[in-house]
Amino acid sequence: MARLTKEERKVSIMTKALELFSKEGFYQTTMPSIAEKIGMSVGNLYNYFTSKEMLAKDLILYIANILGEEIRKINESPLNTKEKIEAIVHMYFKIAQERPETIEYFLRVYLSNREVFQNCCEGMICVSAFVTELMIFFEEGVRSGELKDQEFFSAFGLFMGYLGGMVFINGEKILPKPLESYESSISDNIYNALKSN
Amino acid sequence: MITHELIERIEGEAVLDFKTDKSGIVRDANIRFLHFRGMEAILEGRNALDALVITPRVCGICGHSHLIATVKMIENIYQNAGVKIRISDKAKAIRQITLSCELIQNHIKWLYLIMLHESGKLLEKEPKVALKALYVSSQVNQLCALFSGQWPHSSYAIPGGVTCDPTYIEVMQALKILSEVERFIADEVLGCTPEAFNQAMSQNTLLSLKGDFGTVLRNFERLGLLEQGKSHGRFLVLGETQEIIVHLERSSASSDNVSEDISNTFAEGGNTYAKNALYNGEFFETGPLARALVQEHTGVSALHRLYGDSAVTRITARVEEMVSLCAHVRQLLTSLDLSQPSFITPPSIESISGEGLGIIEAPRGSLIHRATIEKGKIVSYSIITPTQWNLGNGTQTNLGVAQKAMIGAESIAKASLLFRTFDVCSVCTTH
Amino acid sequence: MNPPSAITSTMPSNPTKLKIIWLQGITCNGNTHSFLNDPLLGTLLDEVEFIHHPILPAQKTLKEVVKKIPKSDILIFEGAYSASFERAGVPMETLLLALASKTKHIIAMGSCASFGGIFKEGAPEHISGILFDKEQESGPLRSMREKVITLSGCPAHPKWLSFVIDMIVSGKTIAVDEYRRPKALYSYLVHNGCLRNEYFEWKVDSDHFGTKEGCLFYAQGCQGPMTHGSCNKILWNEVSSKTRAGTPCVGCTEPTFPKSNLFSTKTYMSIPSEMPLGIPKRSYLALAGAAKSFHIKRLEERLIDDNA
Ligand code: SF4
Ligand code: SF4
Repeated sequence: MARLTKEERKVSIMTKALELFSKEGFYQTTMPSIAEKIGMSVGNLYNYFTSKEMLAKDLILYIANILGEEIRKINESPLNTKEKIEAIVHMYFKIAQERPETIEYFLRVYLSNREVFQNCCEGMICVSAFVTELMIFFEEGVRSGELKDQEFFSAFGLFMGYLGGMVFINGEKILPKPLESYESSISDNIYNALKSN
Repeated sequence: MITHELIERIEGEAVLDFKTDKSGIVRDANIRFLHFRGMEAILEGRNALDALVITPRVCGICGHSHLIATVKMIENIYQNAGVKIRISDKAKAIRQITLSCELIQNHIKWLYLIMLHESGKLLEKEPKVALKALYVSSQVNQLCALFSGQWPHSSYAIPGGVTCDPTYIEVMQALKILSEVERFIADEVLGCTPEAFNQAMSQNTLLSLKGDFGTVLRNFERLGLLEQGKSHGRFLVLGETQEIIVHLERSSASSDNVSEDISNTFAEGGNTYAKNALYNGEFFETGPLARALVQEHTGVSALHRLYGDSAVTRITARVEEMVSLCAHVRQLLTSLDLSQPSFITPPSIESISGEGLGIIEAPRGSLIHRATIEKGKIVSYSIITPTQWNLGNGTQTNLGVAQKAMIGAESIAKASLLFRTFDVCSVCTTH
Repeated sequence: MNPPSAITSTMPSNPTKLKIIWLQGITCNGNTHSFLNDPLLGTLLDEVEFIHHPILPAQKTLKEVVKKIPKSDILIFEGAYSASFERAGVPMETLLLALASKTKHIIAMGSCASFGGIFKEGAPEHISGILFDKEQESGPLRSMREKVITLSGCPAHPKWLSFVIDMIVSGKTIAVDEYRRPKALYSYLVHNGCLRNEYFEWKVDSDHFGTKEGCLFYAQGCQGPMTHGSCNKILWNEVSSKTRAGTPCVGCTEPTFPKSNLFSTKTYMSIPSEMPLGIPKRSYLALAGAAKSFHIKRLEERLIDDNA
């Protein structure tokens, strides 16, 4: 097997840790349990991440980057705002289906254990890649006249709270139909709530 | 004979059409202003606060007065709309300081660049550029800028107060500059202390004053103009106190009696852009002389009793105003309470509709801004400048103030000099 | 200590003073009065002389100038241009062109002369600057563009003018930007040197006017980060500037002056519609988001609390 670089190795550790964290929660997951899952010594794991908190922080940065990157592609596409909303909803649900651990981590670890992230992730710093792209999405929507002007956080909460909530009930297996079948009605709702009048 | 005289070295230019008899005596004078910029139309449709940036550009030498008139006018709209707007005493005092600075620098420039220079020229003794006067004016403007950020064209006075938040550093610096200005006025302008100047007014000994002001008066005397330039003896002060004086009779005035007469303007087939400003249908003189008489200034009133509204009284009143304003600024600076807020946020302008009026005393007299706004947007705006009062153009039977002052002058040159005692500004007259 | 040998030097005699004509178009005279604020005016007048100036005593009246168009070294034009606007009875299309062709250097003094400025708003189709009409290089002097130096600003700073005159007197080449503004003066932004920079960095806005604290970019409409000019480097009247006095920069040196709604920041969903010059929105937002996450106590407090 080809030797992995330190960066690649880090990513593979994060992928495994992500699974554990999102399944077991932050406190149940320990450095030894992560080491064991990867099959490396605890001592070696500390060579990559100096603490569990640092690992958790890098994970949220990693996820925010993935989401940010996806939204950026949508922002830079020629779609109009309504279509962009559909694309973002679709992208979000797709990630929630294909890589549920990412969204789970975001909802169950990052948002539910704020005390852990307080020191290393003040405010929105660790999710800035993601929030920045949403700012750009909203700003351009208002600038083009498709969305109504309002406080950023009112719009942000409506959009992201809605999607997070849907992924959550889906995870609780409450939804009668598959998640993707709600995409178009959810997109409509979001658009109608945000559009300019 | 009819002569068209281009009057230069004023703010902008004016044309005087003189009718003279065989001996050259001025029998009639028409005052015309040929430039017009449409300031009022530029303002319409804009956010009312933008007027704080636009109106100072009416005039490079008295733009600050336009700013203060605008801000008062907007504040008046708030009040008329039933919305409370509070201005701290500190903010009021700072506005007074900067506005006074503008008057002081204006009067210095007028005395040196215009009066001293033009009267000297007529006597064939053209003086050099009065650099010392320009330097001290720049100092006065610096004092202003300590609070207003810059002069000319500051927009630091806004509805609710002022944008600056000075410390004692600015206050102390301002006092120091003021001392220099006062020293200049005593040493160079008057050649004596303000007290001695007051006495000289009351004792009618101004001609013996050593300073440059004395020189101006002596020039006027040699030209035989000292007691010339009399007008109607009707005076008007609409800013601060609202009063008029008609032949020594004082009474309170109301802006409701102000009207504009456009019958001479190009729009009506006339030959000027200037609209006349009238009070009860008549021409009134406004400016430093009117202010001094309304305030019953001892020295100026004494002169007025002796010489009426002739050149000597008019010139002296303007010089006297520099002196009083310095004292006023000193008093304001020393009593400034910095712990008060500079600005008290009023409700958003976008929530305000209505009409308002802002009247202030600018270097050349009462300046009126009036506007109607709709949800914070300017629907109509109208400005009446001091020079519209003084430089109005009437008819033989109802002459304008400066017009009357010029008629009877021995020559066109002398009439033109008398015209300049009113501190002519064409950019304001037609805005 | 005395120098080894006393040197008696007279001032270098200046037999050929540069000759200047100052002509006004549609103006408020603001640049004239701004120019008169130069505390070193006396020194400047040792180097140059005015054939004509609207306020300063000069060799010729305008009436004389129009009668026989004199040659000059520098023509300073203040105010906006309109072909039919007259001075001393001569329309600008004749007068300006005649004076311009008989001079070596032309200075557009102030934003009206540079781009049209405030007065252009009065009759946009007829009024422009002498070289530029807003951003378009379509003014009447375009065939002489190389002679023109733009000193935009409403008004232009007296030191900007004296700098250009000094450079001309010393025979130096003035490097200019795309609007022919001297780079030495207009490469800076008004934002550079503003005392509120730290508040800008940490995204602490000034929650209302009238305070020393806070940056005016987020709510009060400050255009300092998008406006070229050394206002906060050399200061106005030697002591202050708009932003130092708590007034938002109104962008008066730019061809877009005057914009509208000058006392509030246009935002789209709380995001400023205009970014600091050359800063991509994405970079700005990433940094702004980060800076906003921190609450810096020192920057949230008053600077001096006992005198308020
Ligand atoms: S640029 Fe400004 S200061 Fe200059 S003439 Fe125009 S309005 Fe006046
Ligand atoms: S107030 Fe204006 S110039 Fe000053 S730091 Fe803020 S944005 Fe820059």
